[in-house]
Amino acid sequence: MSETTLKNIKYENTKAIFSEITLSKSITRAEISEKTGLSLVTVGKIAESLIDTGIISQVLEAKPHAGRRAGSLSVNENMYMVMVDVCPDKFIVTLYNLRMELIYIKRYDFQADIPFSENVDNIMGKILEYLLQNYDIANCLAIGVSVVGSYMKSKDIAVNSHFPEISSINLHAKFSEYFPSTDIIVSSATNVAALYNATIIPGHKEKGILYWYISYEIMLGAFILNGNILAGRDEKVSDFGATLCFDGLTLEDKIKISKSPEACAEEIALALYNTIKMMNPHAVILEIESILPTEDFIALIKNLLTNKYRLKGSEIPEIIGSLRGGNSAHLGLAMEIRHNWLENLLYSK
Amino acid sequence: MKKYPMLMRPVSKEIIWGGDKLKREYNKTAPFDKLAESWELSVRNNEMCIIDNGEYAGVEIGTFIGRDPVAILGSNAEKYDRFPLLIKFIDANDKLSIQVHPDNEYSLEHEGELGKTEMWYIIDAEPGAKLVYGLTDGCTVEELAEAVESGKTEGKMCYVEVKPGDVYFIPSGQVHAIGAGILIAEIQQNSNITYRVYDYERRQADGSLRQLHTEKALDVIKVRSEDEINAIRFSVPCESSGEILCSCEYFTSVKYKACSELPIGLTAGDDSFISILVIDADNAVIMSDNFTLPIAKGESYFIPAGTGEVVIDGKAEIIVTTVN
Repeated sequence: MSETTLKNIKYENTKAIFSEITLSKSITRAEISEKTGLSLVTVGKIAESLIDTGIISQVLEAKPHAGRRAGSLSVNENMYMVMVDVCPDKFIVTLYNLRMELIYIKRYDFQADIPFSENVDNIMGKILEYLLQNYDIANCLAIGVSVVGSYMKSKDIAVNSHFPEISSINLHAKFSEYFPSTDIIVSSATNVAALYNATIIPGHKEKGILYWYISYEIMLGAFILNGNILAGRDEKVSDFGATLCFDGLTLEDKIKISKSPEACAEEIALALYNTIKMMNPHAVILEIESILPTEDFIALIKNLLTNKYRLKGSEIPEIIGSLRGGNSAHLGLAMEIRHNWLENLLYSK
Repeated sequence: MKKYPMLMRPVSKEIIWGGDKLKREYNKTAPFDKLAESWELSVRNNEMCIIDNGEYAGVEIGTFIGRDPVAILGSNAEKYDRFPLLIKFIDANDKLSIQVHPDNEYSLEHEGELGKTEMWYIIDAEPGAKLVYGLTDGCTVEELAEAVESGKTEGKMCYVEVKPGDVYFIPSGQVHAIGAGILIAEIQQNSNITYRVYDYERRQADGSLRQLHTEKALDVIKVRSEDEINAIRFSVPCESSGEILCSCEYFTSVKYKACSELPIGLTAGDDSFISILVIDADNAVIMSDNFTLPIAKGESYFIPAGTGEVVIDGKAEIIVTTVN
């Protein structure tokens, strides 16, 4: 067996074990062995290596108390991840533990009378101050930064036609300035939200999945092919909202004018019809901010696809709502942070 | 000195009543067919277990202990002039002799060695298997002596039918005999002094009868009630999350069952070493600080005093013994 294959096997095993540990408050090696199908010895060896990194801890107390079982494993409760939404008028900061449970959220609004760059520095200072006062920076696994729009990693610049000031800052460099010892990941919010939501589709790494985010103000999307974002030129996000409607307005404009996605259901369904015909996705994930419950909105769209736009049943992919329980972009970043940490652990040796 | 769970390489004993179950089902090896006893924790000259893993692999357990007996055996063992325990698997394919062991006082005076109090945990038993446990109701030592004289010993024996999971505590002076078809985990004082009362006229391979020790046996036999025996069996207070099999003057043995949701946590403190006898195991490991090892059915581990926390994770049934 080649060294690469062995490394891949070890990576997959480590990922499986780490995943089980992060899904539980505490779990024994034997439970991990049962859930993953890996031998107890393999689980033990990999658990030891993870304990050595400090990312997981072990209870070796012989007399279990407070519900803690002897030998059980859990994530290091002192470690955390920071996510920052960079928006045109605010930052939204969240902290997650390694189980991807939200432990803190705060919104920092911009001051209207000062330049964007000064707002950024002010808020960065406040974030740093908060972390220094309440946590150990050394326990921060990484900071994830999400921007609405496209992020060009090669130039460290975000691009958003509705938010031109964002291009004036090198995001990775700016965050690294304030957090020099912490890993920083910057990404398009839509892309990481799409990747996060794609995990609900079984076998998503071998499929094409369309993700649309529709709110009262914007419409964005991404197409994931075999687990990777299908990025356009300059790594731009897929601007599905720019789809032109028959009256010459873009879909996004129509939604903004009507202030309700549900009022534009026909136009959305038509755009989806064209996209399905063009891209033939296995599944479509819709993240909708609407008065209608998502299930009802999806039912409405499916009905329009079938009855108005005559899409045959066999041509309609699975259409489901997005994952609930938090900010998709932040959770997507948290997932990426954990994934990168594991990759560095195993592939950098 | 590095301390870690030490896998014991046992000492195999061939005796005429032995079976082959330990070889077939418990992964024991021996150069003979009738593996009657597997001494799983033995620190006796010429009958010494060897450490089979880790830094001290290949070293006799007695040699290892000799490096620092107090630190390795624990403070409870200081009152003994030798290693205090002997732990065995016994596979009785045929019945053993009816026998009795002396107490410390008698044994030291007559044999120069400690007496023997022991405990049996029945691991397996064929349907209807029986053992001898004491005398028939109301029988006195004098009546037994008459029966022995007239060749009617068996008629004075109390036979009990056994099943897996049963526990029999045999204090010194208690007449006993393991019957055919029984597999036992035996935890005992470190003594081999045995007085045979009766051996069924059995002849050894060379045609000779095995020696009986009738006079000494009748000297030491005690008739006790069940309450009296239990008082000795549980004479030392003990708290445990497992099933306490025995907590007598010499040792405490506890049975634990681990499953994937509930590992067993033990502490090898400075007071005593720990012996772990693995009665059954399925995808299980033993762990201590920076140490993880898969465990198997039939294995025995010696955990030096002061090793600290030890965890058994996975599906396992073990008997844990410490010195009092």
